[in-house]
Amino acid sequence: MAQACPLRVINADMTYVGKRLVYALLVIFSVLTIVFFLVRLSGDPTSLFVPLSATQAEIEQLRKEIGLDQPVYIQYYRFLKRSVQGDFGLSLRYQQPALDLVIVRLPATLELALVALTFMFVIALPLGILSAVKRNSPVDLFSSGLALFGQSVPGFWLGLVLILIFSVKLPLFPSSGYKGFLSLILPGITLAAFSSSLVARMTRSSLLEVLSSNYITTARSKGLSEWTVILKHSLRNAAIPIVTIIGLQVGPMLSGAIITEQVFGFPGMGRLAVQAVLNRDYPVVQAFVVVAASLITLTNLTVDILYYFLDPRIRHE
Amino acid sequence: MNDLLNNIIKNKKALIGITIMLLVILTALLAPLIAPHDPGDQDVTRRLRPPYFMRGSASYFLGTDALGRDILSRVIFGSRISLLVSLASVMGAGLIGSILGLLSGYYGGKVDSIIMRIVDIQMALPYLILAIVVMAVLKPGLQNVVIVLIVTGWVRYARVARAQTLVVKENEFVTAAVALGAKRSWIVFSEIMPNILIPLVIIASLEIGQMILGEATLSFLGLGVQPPVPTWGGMVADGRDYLSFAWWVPTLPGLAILITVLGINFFGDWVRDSFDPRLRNL
Repeated sequence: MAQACPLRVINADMTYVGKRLVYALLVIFSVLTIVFFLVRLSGDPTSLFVPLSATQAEIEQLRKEIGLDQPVYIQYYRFLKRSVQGDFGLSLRYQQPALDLVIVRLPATLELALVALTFMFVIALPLGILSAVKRNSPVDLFSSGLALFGQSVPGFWLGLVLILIFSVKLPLFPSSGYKGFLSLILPGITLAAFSSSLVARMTRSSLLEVLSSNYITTARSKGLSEWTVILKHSLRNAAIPIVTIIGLQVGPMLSGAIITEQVFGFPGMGRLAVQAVLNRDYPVVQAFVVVAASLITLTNLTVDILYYFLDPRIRHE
Repeated sequence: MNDLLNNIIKNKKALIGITIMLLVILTALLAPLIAPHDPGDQDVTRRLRPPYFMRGSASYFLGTDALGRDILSRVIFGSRISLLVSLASVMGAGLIGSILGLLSGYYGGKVDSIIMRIVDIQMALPYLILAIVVMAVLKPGLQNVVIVLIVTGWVRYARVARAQTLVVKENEFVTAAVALGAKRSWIVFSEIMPNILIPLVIIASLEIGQMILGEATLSFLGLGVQPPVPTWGGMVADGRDYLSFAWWVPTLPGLAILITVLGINFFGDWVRDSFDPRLRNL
C-alpha cells in the first residue's frame, strides 16, 4: 500500500489545527460581543460603571470618558479594541485595572482545579475501571451509588459538611483561606465531587463497551492475563470518550470553583467574580467572564487537537 | 397503566424516587397547612435552638435559626421556590430548545449554522458564569433566576431535538406528507415533533434535579431569590456562620436539597431506562 506523502500529512494536520484555532478565536469574539450587548439590553449601562454614590455631574463626565455618549457601533469597536489590549476599565471597588485583579487570582483557582483534577484521576478512573471489570459486584454498586450522590449533592453543602467534620469536629484541615497545601484538600474534594461522578460513569460505560468487542475475546483466547487485556488492550480504546469528558469538565470545574471558593473563603477569581456582582463592579465581571471563557475555549481546543492525534479515524475523515 | 404500576413497584429506585417526589410536591402544595409556624416569624429569645433529636423542643422540630425562625417551616416553604423555579425553567428551556433544535434539524443550511453556532458559544460559558454576567445586569430575583436557568438550559434540548429531527425527517411518512402538499409548519409540528418527544421528555426528567441545584446555588451565592422569601440555598448561606456551634442551621436545609435531587435523579434514571436505554450516557 502506498504511504501518504509526509508533507501532505503535515499540511492536513496544520489545516485541522488552524481551523480549530480560528474557531476558538470566533468563540472568544462572540463572548466579547455578548458581554458588550447584554449590558446595553437593560437600557443605559452607565449605572453599571459608576459607584452608587456618584453625582449626576460625575455620571455625565464618566459617560463621556468611557464613550457611552457615542453611537453603539463606535462603542462596540472601541470595546473590542480595548479588550484585545486587555483593557476592561478600572474596578469600581478597588480602583485598579479589572483584568489585573482577575489575573492575580487566576493561579489560585488553577491550583485548586489541578488538585480537583488529581482527585478525579485518583478516585474516579480506578473506580470506573473496577466497576466495569467487576460488573454488578459490591464495588460496582458502591461506585454507582457514589456517582449518583456526586450528581445530586449541592457543592456548597458538601463543602460545609466537610468543614464541619474535618475542620470543626476533627481539626485536620483549615476551614478557610489559603494557607498552604492543606488548605487545598477540602476545596479540592468538594470541587472534584460532581465531575468525578461523571468520569466514573463514563469510564465504566466505555470500558464495558470495549470489553464486549471481538478483539478482546481474541486477546483473551490468546491466553493474555486479564490485567494485560484491560490495561493494554481495552483502556487504550476506551480512552477517547474519557479524554473528551475530562476535557469537558474544565467548564463545570470553573463554575464549581466559584461556589467552592465562596464556601472556603478561597482567594481565587471565582470569589472575586461573585463579590463583583454583589458590589455591582461590572468591569471586573466583564474581565472575569472573558478570562473564564478564553480558558474554557483553549482547553476545548487542546482536547480537540489531542483527540485528532489520539484517534487515527478522525485524521482519515 | 397496570404495566406501568407493576414496573414502578418492581423497580426500587423508581419507587423511592416517585415517593420522594410526591412528598416534596405535597409539601409544597400544602405548605401553609402543614408548616407548624410562620416561616418569617422572628424571635431572638429563641434563636439557635437545637432540633428535637438533640433534646430540643418538639414544637421546633428541626430547631431555629439565628433570628429565631423555625427551620422546619422554612424548609417546608422553601420547597415551593425550588419546585416552582425548576419546573418553570425546565418547561421554558425545553420548549425553546426543542423548537430551535427542530427548526435547525429540519431546515438545515443557514438556520442550522446560526443556531448551532449559538449552541457552541453558549457551551463556552458554563451556567454559573453566564448567570454571573446576567445577574450583574439584571437584579437578582425569582423571575430573573428562571430566565438565567432557561438561558443556560435550552442547549441540551436543542442538540437532541436537532439530532432526532435529522433522523425522523428521512422517514417515509414525512416524504408522504411533503408529497401530499402539507405545509412546512404542519410537517414540523404535527409529523416530526410527536416523533422526537420521548428523548426530550427523558432529558426534562433528568434536568429537574439539576435546575433545583442551579436555583439553590444561585440563592446560596446571593444571586437568586432574595430574602425574606425562604429558599433552601439561601438558608444554607444564612446559617454558614453558625456551622461550628449550631451545625443544624446550614446543614438541614442542604439535606432537603440532597434528598429531593436524589429522588428526582432516581426517577429520571428510571424514565430513561424504561423509555430508551440507548440514552444511558446522556
